[in-house]
Amino acid sequence: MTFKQWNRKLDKKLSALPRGEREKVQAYYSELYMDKQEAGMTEAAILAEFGPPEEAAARALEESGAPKAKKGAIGRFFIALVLFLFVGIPVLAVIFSLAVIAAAVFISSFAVIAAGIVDFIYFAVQMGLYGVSGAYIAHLGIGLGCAGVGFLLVPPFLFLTKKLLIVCGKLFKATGRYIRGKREAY
Amino acid sequence: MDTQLKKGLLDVCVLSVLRGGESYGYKIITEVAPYIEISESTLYPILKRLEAAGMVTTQSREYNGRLRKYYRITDRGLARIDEFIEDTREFDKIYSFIVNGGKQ
Repeated sequence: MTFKQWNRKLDKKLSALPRGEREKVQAYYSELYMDKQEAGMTEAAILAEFGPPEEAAARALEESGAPKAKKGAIGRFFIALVLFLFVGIPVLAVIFSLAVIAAAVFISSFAVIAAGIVDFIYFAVQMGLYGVSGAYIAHLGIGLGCAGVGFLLVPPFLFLTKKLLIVCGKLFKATGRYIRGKREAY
Repeated sequence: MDTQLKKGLLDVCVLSVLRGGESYGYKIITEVAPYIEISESTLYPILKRLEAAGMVTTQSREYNGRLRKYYRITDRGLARIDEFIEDTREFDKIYSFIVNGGKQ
């Protein structure tokens, strides 16, 4: 394990603390790490002295006034329930809405193309049945124009869809990390 | 050694180091370690507790292009050392009593 990995684990275990407090603990260990390194110690030796990050986190939590770890299954169940109700469900709703928007944006460009083609075919048939008129020709133009605009919209809408789906994925991962971090801290 | 007793001793050991002048995490550990077992994870809550109790003050200063936190003892910290010395005098009497098998 490297110091970076050790620090990341420590941060995860301290997630019950406010960010400022977590930064103080990390600054403390970073300072010690640098001092020990300057004194000629290797990374492995320093980490061996630091001990497991879980223990360092537990000691740091002792004086922080953070809520004590819930050891019972009922305690853990309630923490999981609260996290799911107040974090999981709203975030899932946002992710679902964003995904629907992404799908709608993607489909809309094809819908514009389809509408343009349908309009063109419909008025071409009308023209064949009832003869050429200015209004029919105008509609043919509108249909072609509509289909053209639809084709032009495909690349930017595809890009937008991709971005929205990436945001969905990131949001999902970040929420997962947050909930996991809180659970591990307890 | 009893955990509570050790906790109290470590607090005073750290304060004693700081009585000799301001110091920082690594130096405190190296000075205390020869006398009583202390680790990095043990020192953090001690320093935090002493700071919260107003027995030490802190100041971050630049050292070798990075920040290092320095701890300085306060009057309250000095008073705690004196109080501890008083307590140990009393403890000496109790110790003699125990060693002598409950005879004065």
